[in-house]
Amino acid sequence: MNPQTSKLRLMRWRLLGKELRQLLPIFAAAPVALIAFLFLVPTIGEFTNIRSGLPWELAFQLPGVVFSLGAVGLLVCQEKEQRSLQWLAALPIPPLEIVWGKLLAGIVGVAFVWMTSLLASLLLQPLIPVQLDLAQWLLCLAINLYILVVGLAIGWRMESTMGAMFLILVLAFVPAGLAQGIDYVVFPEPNLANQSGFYTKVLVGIFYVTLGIVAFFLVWLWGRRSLTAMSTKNPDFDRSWLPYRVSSSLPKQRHLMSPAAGLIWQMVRQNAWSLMVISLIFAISLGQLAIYQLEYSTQIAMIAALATSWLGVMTFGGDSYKHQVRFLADRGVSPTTVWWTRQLVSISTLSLFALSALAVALMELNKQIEPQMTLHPNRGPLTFVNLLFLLLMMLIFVFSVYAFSQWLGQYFQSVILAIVIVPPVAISAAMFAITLFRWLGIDIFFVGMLTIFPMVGTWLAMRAWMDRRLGFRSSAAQLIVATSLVTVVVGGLVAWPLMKPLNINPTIAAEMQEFRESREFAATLGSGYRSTDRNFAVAQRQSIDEASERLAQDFRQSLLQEVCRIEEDLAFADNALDGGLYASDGLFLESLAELVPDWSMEATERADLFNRLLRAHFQLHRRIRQSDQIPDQNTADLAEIWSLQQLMQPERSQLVEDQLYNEMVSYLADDLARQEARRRALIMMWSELEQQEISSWQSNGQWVFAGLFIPPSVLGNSAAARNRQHRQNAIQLLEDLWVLSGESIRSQDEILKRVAENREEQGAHYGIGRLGKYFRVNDVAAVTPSLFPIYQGRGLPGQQWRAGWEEQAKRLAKRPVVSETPTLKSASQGVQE
Amino acid sequence: MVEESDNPAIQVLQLGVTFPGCVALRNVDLQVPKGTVFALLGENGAGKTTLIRVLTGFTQPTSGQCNVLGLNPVRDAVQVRQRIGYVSDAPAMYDWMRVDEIGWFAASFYPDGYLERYRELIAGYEVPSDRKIRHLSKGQRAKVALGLALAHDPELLILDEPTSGLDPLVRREFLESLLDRVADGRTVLLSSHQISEVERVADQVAILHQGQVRLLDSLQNLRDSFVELTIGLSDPLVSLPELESPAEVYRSQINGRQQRMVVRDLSPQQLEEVKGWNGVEHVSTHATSLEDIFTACLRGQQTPKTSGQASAQ
Repeated sequence: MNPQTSKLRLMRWRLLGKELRQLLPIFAAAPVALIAFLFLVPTIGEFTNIRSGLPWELAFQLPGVVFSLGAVGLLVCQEKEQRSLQWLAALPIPPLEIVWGKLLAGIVGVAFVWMTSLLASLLLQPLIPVQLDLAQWLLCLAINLYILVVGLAIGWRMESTMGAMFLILVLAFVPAGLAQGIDYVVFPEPNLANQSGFYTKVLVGIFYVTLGIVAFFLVWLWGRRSLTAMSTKNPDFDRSWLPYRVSSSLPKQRHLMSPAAGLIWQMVRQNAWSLMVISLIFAISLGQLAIYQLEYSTQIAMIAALATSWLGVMTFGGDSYKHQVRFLADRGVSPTTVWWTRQLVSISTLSLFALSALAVALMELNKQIEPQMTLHPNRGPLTFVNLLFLLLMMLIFVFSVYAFSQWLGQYFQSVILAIVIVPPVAISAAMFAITLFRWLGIDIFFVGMLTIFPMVGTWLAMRAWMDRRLGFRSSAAQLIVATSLVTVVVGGLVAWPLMKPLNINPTIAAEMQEFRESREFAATLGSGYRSTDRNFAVAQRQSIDEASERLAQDFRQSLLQEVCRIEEDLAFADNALDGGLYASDGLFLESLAELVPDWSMEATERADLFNRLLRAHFQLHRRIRQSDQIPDQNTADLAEIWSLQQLMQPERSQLVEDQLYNEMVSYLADDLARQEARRRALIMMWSELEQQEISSWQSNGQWVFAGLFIPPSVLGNSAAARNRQHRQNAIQLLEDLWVLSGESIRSQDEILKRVAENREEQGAHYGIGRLGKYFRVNDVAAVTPSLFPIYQGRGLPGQQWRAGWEEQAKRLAKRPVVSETPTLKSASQGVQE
Repeated sequence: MVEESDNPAIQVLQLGVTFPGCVALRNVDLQVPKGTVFALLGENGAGKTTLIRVLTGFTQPTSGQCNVLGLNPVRDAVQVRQRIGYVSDAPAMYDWMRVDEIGWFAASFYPDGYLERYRELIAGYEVPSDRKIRHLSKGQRAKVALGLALAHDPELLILDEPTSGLDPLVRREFLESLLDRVADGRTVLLSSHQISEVERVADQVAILHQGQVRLLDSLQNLRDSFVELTIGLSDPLVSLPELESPAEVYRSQINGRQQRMVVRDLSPQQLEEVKGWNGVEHVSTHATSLEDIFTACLRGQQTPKTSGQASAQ
């Protein structure tokens, strides 16, 4: 082999190896970016009503973009900044070898990251549904390569590193924007041709490839030019050798400023371009928010988070560049003044954006509120608390991204590395903060530390940073911040078990689904109570009034008048009743029925009155049984137990008419129908549970972890976590009740114990009902006092289920009669009809 | 009671600085009196910049104490830097600012009159005031850095390689301006490799070698006390006896039948003794330059040795 060729080949490999080694930090940053965005997507979804179709694919696309941006920074901008490119150009290497070496290393890296993202999406497919086909993945690769090539071209051309990075980001959207523009011109109205977006995607692809080829040419042109000859277009260079003439330009007269004002001026001037571009990105994201409303909120949040993070990097990055801050350090400028003047500029920009975003978001929310008066179908009305919560979340997110970025940015000596690596890390940290607060219920105080301590950290480290003494090992500020973060992490880890998803037992869930499908309850579930309308027609009211006048001659007649009212009420419509509303009526009927045998009246009159009361009571609890609420099932249980007690007492049962007696016996013995009604209520309870939001202000319970009560001083008033605990308890209760409502009882004692323990929880959630005194009726005959007092408390859910009285009811014998009696099932059908 | 004006501008006691794997300074003791030009000399890596960084509060000493204008630079670094003028070996400047703009910006941190003096200095150095710092040559940048450090007329000027990159004319003017400053009671601490320049302006000199003060005295004393002996030998193999105290041999070099020694505190009697030694044909003495002394300190033996030991080597 020709030694020259062999040497050239060796040189090329070594150049490629050097470039790839240079890219190592950014290879590490790509997975961090993936994790950050995987956190970001569902969390943003939590706030923006996206329940399905979360843009997961974005999380897998963005690491490639991050890598492309970073590669440009490390391969060209950093080399220019460190002047190592000058040394490289001085070596006996053909300039184009350097240019192609960098381009090749970038392409290899982009391909590797793209492939890794693709594999990660395939591996995570069971957990995260990524809606990307091969064509979209290829488009994604084309976009990444486009950003790389455009970036390299700009990197060769531009002096300012930060300016180059921002410009790349803007240019990255140009092909997509052009394609969208053409699409809009050609198809101003949506029609079949562009409905699928096929043409737009093709156009986007064409533009990315075409402009990428142009950029490829520019890489060659500008790369070669910057390595072979120095630009002399700058007029300053032309006259740099000329002797200075004092009279040539008189110094501009300026007013002297205070140190703080001077520093603010210097900060703004130094970062003018960065501030403008960041503001532009903020404006774009606000515009998108206004145009697309909350539809693309995840993408908007990502862009805004990126800009926020860059703002954080900029806070100290501009001064870190070439260690310019030493100028201030040499002059004894107060580190505190330097710190707050930097923060003032950045935080003012950020606050302006946050307020604008809030205003736009509120306007959008207002549009949604007006038609339905709800923030979300399942979230209830938009209240002040909701707004406050939304604002709080937004502030936590924005300021924790900022705080982390400015903290990390202070430690990075290379602005380029900071621009690329800091955003994913800071967004991950912010997402962690949001997760702690939103999902795990860590107190806002601890979350606030995530924002405050990085700020305190940079403040404490200011002198060391200005003096270039800042180090990860020796900095006390670093230690304090790290300790604080560990504290929060430990808090997060303690609460992590509560993060488990709220799952119901799969067997029970399958049974419930089967029950639901077989009974076609879906159409009727969720409607809630259908209470009786007490506004009678005028004619009916007049007749009742007349009857009342006639009957109200003595106390007995006044009681009968009330019975008459209840009868009229029940006769109005054959619908399900709310046990709570009719508890006092039931109590009245039962009390009166208890008194009747002792009243001095004729036997027929007594029997007539007793039957009348019993029939009304029967109608009442039969319709309460139709309710789809668990508390009503409890009320119906107690009323049925009372009815059973009446029928089991010979002196009372002999007063009951045969037809009514048989109807009641049939009804009480129909255990299957009772079970069906209970299960229907349980399914309703599950529907409510599925739809319920866990909010931090909805809990009034205690937080118990691993059997230990965790006081507020340890992890704060973790209302959301406790609420989560309650919800899990409710699911456990639901599972137990489902088993209890079935025919086969598994581990009854254990279940009953759990159900009983549930009453220890003070909170009442999700339609379970307030908790009362716990007792169970095994033998109806043994129950002497009336059951009515516990109607008021509504009882413990399922407290009388499978207690034994149901079996007693089955054993009651019918009397020989002619007509068929209605069952609960047929009554239920009647209600639905 | 000691007046403040009597206190030295800089006082360093048993100062030590240790970096991981390297001892930068060891038991350094020195005093810089007010109204003097104090020159720090030493080879690359001797610890000059480290010492200056300690004095300006950029580096914390591992041991010992130091005092600058009555302030502790570790605790009161910001106040120290406000009162001194400091030009580092690689002055940091906001290179996007223009020459006049950076002076105007720096004036925010100093009392009134700063900008006017800065403009005078810049005009004197003939630096274009409307040009951006990033477009200046290395020498022009150095001039701007000097202008910025001198414009507030500091009590103490600390200069780390200040004339590096300056053209000879400006260098001369600058050094002369240092003498004017000293005449006004100001103090200058100067670190330089340009020994001939230092010799022209310095009142006191300290030579650092491997983190230790090898030599510390006034320039006049050094000139008076150091002498170069040229001894003609009858036989190249002749062994000369050792010089008795107080004479100290800093460097000894044998070249054939001629031996050259840089000796400190050689008394006339000892010179006569040398002339009378066996094998000595003739002895001549020459005045030493600061460069000779500097070279003798660094290239000589590790510790002052007698002539006999030197010749044995």
